[in-house]
Amino acid sequence: MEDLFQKFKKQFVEEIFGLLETIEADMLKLEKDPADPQLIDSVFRAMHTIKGTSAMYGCIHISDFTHHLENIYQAIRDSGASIEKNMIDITFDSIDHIKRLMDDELLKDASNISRNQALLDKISNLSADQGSEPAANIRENKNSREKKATQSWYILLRADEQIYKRGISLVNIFADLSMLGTYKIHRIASLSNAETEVWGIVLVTSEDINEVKDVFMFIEDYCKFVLIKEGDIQSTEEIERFGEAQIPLAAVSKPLPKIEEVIEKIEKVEKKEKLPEVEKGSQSSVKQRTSLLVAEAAKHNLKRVSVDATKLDYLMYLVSELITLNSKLLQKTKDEYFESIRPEVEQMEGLTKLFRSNALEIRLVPLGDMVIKFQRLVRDLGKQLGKQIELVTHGTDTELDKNTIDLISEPIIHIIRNCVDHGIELPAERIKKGKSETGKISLSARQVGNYININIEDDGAGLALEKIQNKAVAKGIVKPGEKLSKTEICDLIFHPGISTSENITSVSGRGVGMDVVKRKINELRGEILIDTEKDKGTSFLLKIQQSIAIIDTLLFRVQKTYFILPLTDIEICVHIDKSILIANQNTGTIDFNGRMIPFLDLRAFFELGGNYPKTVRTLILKEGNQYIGLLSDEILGEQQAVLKPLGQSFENETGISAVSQHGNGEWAYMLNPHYLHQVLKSQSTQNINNSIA
Amino acid sequence: MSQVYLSFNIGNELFAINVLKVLEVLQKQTISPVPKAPDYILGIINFRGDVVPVFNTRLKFSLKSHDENDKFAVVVLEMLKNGEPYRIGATVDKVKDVITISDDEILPVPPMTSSFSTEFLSGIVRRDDQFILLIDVDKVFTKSEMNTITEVAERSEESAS
Repeated sequence: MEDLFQKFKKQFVEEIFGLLETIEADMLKLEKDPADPQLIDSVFRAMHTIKGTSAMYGCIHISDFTHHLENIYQAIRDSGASIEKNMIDITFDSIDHIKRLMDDELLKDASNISRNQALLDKISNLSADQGSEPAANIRENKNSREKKATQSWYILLRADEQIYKRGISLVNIFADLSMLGTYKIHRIASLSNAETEVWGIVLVTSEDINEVKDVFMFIEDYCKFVLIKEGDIQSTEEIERFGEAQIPLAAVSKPLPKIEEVIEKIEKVEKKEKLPEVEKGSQSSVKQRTSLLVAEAAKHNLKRVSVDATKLDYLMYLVSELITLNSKLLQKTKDEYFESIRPEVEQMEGLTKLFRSNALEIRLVPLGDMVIKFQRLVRDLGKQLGKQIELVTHGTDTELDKNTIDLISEPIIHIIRNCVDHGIELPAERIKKGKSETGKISLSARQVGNYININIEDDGAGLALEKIQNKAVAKGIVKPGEKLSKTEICDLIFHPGISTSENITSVSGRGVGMDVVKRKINELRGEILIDTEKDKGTSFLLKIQQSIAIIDTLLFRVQKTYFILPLTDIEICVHIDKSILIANQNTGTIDFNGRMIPFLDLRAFFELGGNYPKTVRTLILKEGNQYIGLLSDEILGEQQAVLKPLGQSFENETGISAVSQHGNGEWAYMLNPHYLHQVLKSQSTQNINNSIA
Repeated sequence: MSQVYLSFNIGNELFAINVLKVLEVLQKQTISPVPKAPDYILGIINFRGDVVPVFNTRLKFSLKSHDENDKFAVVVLEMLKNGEPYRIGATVDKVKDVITISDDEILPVPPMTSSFSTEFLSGIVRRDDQFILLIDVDKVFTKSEMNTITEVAERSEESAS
């Protein structure tokens, strides 16, 4: 059992977390519409599955705990009542508790034990209100149930084609039955097209009828079943009626065996083998059925597969190695000598490219997967601070690379936390300002070319620009009396040590947070822009590349150093005569299509030494409507670059955001275009353009 | 208890590092300089597909940096920072030997008047009339540590002039 547990544990954990997420999402909706029977039902089902699955994996504490919770929802579902507010809170607490229990299966942690008891008490209070059986009595009931005499049931099950299309395996149902007692199955009839089947099941159990019914809970929508108590079977008519005349009993190959005979047989089998076995004939038919099920499911419903993330990472590693090898191969076979294998090499390059883009696509995950987490955060924080806040999302089907999603989640949480804590005002204050009592935070995402724009916006008080500047002056970050633009002041909040709130709260305000956001976004080679207006709100715009590990770049060279830039950032490459650059050295600008644009002398900027050739290859970069020029010695062409981070030893921003190994084994340095734009904006260009002459 | 160490020269001193920290010793390795990198980083190397920075150990010991013609080896080390493993390369003048040192051989570090601080030494061993300085890897090659070293070097230069 222990081994089995370890083997399937991962799968189990994933399943439970998935179910908990479903419950969380439903609960958030229930908070708005507490009487929705479908949602209540969905919560109940999810809980029921958690209970069953955890029991199967031997997590009795989770199973036991969920059982009590489930009872409440069952009572609500059955009575048609609506969910009360304190119940929602308890449910959220319970979800968190179950998550903790996942790490503490044996309930050893002292704080978990006390929480477990506290929550169970709360739940039993609730269930007393609900009039369902109090949680405290449940164990007693269980014991008394065990003493009950065994009963046998004859179950008729008609499975429709629906069940197969949905990929529901009856085998699982049969397995559940086996936990209740001993059972025996035989197939009574099947139509010629094999879409509908009728099964007869004899079950000998000491369990309550409800327990038996529970087994069929998940399939009751797709099939029909009747429970007939032993002795109640009067004739085969009943069975025939059940088949609804579509299946004339004449089609039944075997006459229905007498129930006593069946039981006898079961007992015989039991003596031979410990587990109750299905009759040989029907066992093979179950097998057939299962394989059919798999095929059907694949055909109809299985559009998504879940894959272990480490496998995806390994796939990425292989792709990147292949790309590097491929570019080496291209480099080494440039010579005429290799003419004969050239077509194959080029074909291989094409395939590698396809392989790469396919592998990248596999890794894309919709942003929506994170949204529940954010919604929960807004709800909990809002409650804690006494604010009413609604989180609205748009475009959450926008996809990002899995690793990017993991990295972006933390900064988004920081930003949302800031919006809740500092942005949105208290209800009374909002009314005073003539705004609706409920604050709104919107999270929207959309794809723009290779980039994903994520916009987080609140309709709160806006940033206190003056205060921020004063604080920055006090901290010596800004000189007193310095004139700053709105954007510059906004950017100050990314400075470690500057917080927008006067008082430190438990939520945020220690001045950590926004600088972390900035750092994380930099790590992703993205950018973040803030806009704010007093009493209208604040917006944070994150621009992130969809995939950051492998991108198409342009490779160029200055002296002996190779650089790359994302192709999407390059507008055009132009040849400029060195004499023109010397003439324009004072202004640090060049003429590009009639515009004066600043240029950056990379040789001087990176202290590379040497001189530019007579004709300077200049790359024109575009960001928004701003253009800049970068001077280089030679442009070597497009390059699929496998980017690797420089690591933590290079913490200071230098304009280089990553490295990539290109064809001849040399490193190429990935420039951060946004940083270069900033450099040209802020510095006097004369200082950095001095190696042209 | 005894442990296995890798010994090497930097300048005139003989040092040793626990081999458990050593992934590989690279004899002929092209180190690519990174533009605008801090002084104490010589450059980067490709080590088993990863980018690994190479630290200039001579700078750490206030010695003259390696000349272009100087021969040196790169010892690739794996360390832990906040529970995450990370790798760095460290230059050494010459790799000497793999030696077994028993724990009771290790003497405490006496206060030294030499140019480098003793903080990153975990002990001293006397072998064949020679002292071997045991390096505490996790202390020596952190960035902040490298920073203070360079600062110290600058300050001593200033006071000398």
